[in-house]
Amino acid sequence: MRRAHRLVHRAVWPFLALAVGLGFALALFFRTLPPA
Amino acid sequence: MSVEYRAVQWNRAKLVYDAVLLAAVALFIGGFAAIAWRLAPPQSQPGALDIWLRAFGVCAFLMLTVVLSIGPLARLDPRFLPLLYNRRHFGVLTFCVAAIHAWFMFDYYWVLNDLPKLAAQFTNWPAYGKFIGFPFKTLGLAALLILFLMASTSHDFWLNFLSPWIWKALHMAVYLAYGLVVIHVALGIMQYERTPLIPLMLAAGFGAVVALHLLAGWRERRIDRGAALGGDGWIAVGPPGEIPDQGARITAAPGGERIAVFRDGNIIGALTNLCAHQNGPLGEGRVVDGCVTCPWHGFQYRLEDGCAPPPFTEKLVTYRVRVNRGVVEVDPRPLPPGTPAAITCPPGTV
Repeated sequence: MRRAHRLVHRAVWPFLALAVGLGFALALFFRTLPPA
Repeated sequence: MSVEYRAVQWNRAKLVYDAVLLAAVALFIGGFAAIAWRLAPPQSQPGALDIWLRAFGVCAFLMLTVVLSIGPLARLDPRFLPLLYNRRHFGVLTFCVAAIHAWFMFDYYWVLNDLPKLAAQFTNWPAYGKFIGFPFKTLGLAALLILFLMASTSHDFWLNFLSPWIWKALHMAVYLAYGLVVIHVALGIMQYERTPLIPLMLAAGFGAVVALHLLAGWRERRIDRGAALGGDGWIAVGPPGEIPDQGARITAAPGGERIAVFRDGNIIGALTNLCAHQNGPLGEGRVVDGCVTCPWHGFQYRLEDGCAPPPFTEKLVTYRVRVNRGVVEVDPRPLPPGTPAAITCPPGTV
């Protein structure tokens, strides 16, 4: 991989982990399951 | 490029790879459907479609997780390189499985004669302002479109047409697709099902992919910082004997691309670390019959001048090397592609 691609990788993954991880955590926290 | 290489070729390794892949997918989907059928036999056609919908959906998520793990795994441990060899077929099959998942969703509403309800979910504009209740199918559709774009441009024709640089940048959109898929599941089925397996699958899959990418990136930072330059701008690589025979040591100037310094017996040569095919890491490959061989797809270049052996025409950037007081040094200023630059080590230095 080119250096530029590696730099993008390093920038993207922490951001993606934070954004998606936060979205997942909120979706789990606020989920309102239908009655069993 | 290897002398045996053809743009489109089904060799034994690819056939075995694809056969194992197809068998694993069929086994997973069949097993998932069989277990679901046994646990809760469907009472209607939509119920049966729902099982297939879930089977293909889970399979697509797991396949995407594996596809995204192959790259960092191969960077962390070369034993995973065989998985990378045919990764594009894995990716195309992932798109096919995801597309079948989408088709079952369409079919589900079709059988219920309720397609307007499906359409209304995509056009429920007020719902786009919510978090819980967001039209999650739109996220899945967006991910599917990205996977389609990648699958349709996966052939080497597009790689050559777009250039490896643009092609790779385009295909990095798969990370966005993966993020969309995770939220698609989290805001979709995870909101309706009590089973802890869904959040566990999401957390374990996404967590593993993130951890692997962060770890691989962290380990490579040291090389990318670049080596210190000597007074005349050359980089010290080390004694010739410390460069593995028929292998390489990888170095880089600060802010520059990586340079692979190879040794083949007593011959030392330096090439760019970027393969002309897909920018694969040449320095992690081997010298075979005097040719540097890319570990990804076997493209080959002569060590002495960076040229692919005839009849192929690819040429790589080369770098000047010298042995100074028993230490191999490389000049990080690139020479024009195909310039002979390899040297023979002085006697007694290897």
